[in-house]
Amino acid sequence: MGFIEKIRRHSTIATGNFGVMFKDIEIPPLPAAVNRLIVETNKAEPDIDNVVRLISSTTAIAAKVIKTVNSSLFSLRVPVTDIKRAVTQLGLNHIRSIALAFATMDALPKPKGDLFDHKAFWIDSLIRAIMSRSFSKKSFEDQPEKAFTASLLADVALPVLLCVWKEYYEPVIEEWHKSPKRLSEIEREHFGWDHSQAGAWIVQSWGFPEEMVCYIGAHNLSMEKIGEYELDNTIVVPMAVASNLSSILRPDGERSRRVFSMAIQWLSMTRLEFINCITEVKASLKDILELFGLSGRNAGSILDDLLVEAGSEIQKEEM
Amino acid sequence: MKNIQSLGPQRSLLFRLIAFFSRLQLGYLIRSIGNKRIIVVVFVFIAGTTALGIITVVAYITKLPLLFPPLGPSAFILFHTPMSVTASPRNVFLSHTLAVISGLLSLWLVGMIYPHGNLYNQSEMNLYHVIIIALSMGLIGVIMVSMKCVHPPAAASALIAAMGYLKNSFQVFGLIGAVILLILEAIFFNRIIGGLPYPIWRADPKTAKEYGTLAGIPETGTTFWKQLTIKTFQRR
Repeated sequence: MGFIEKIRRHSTIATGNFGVMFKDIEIPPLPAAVNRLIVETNKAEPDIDNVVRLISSTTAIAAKVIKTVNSSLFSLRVPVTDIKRAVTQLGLNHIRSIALAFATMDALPKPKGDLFDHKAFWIDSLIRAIMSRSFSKKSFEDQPEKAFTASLLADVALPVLLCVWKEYYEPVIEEWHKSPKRLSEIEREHFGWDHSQAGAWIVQSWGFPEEMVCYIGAHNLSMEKIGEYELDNTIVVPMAVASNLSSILRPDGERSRRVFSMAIQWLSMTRLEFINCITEVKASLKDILELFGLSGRNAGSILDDLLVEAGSEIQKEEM
Repeated sequence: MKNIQSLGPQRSLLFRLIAFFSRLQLGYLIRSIGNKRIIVVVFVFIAGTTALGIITVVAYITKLPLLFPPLGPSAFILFHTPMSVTASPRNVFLSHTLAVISGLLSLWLVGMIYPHGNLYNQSEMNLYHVIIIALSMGLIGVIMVSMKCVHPPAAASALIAAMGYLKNSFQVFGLIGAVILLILEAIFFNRIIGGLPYPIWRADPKTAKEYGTLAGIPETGTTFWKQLTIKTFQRR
């Protein structure tokens, strides 16, 4: 690499100029059918026939939709075999989440090396997404699917950064593995920006609405900052609480305690409500992971930690 | 002790130096600081003064005919809306060059038809001058639009040529040379000092779109989410 090129790369990273950072690489586009599906389901009056047509045009998504509707999550007595009925059963919001989740998983690159565990990354993202959805049901009852989608996409920049800006980003991940600090804190110390901002840029380039871009960009901010951004009355709050959950690769009791106390303080949950939420997440997790081809890992253990944490708090109070 | 390699290039002295200077660039400051106007004002002042200053000094030292009024508005566009299509090197160079050609062509054409029209006397305005000026203006308008190289100050270059101010090829090449010098300065100021992806030749409308007022796109009603999106990409 020439000296000028080195300067250019240093400057791009130091200024967090995502337009230039991701200019030379092709950010994997979402499949056209999925993009059109998202646009259609986002309309005030979506055309169901068009939604059915778009789902049917992508065999993989169509199969997942049928599999989802017939999974134990919905416990239907008669199996559903046609897309139109599946769409009616699941609802458009759910359809959008499924399509997006599958498309994103396929679209994003898989970095090589030991530092990135592709399967664990998606399990972590899915657990946080299901948790955000569950947390949102109380205060944002019409937006749980939005919270699911935003949380699922919140860390999309990680694999991209590890593929394209490897020499800068690998040391950050290494430090994160050894440090109790959050990844975003380390990123800000190194570069002055974090992966949530890079993720927001990617999602913006995919044509997502500004609202979603902001949710993703703010999901790992402190509560004070979220308030400063005037997002304290939005789904960013449950997203931020869920984003504190530790990775399945590195269970951390301290972070479980943090998630619990944040949920009580910022989501105004009672201890019992929190336990119910986590139990609900745990119950649906197995099916969802299976649906996404991610089963086989002990993903539920970090949820068990949360339940233990909540249980011990209740015990303390009773004593 | 870990070496620099394992700590990442971001721990090197070179990175820190570059980070320090990069964060003083127009492109970064505009994204990071709320008051964009003052930053643009300072940039336009510094870049405009220096760019025209350099051309004037070169003209003074070399005694070359490099100073022409259209350079002023061109410099303003190049530094005020550098990311706009009209400020791209392609548009600036082609429009000025074609403007001079269309002005000279109009002059030559009318001179051929009316050989006794006293066309090179700028102090005397007659019907022939009216025809030449109008024709050159019409021509350059058509050329800029049809060749997609619009750069409004070039129309002044057409008038200069049409009015007979460019009396020899030395002056013609002087004007074009000054335009090239201005473009090189714009590349230096906008890319190095400004930290903007200013094009080397043709503007990329997709990139330009991301730069709002710097691309000459007027600020429309800003919604809450739009404002927050801008804030999302600011330094943390």
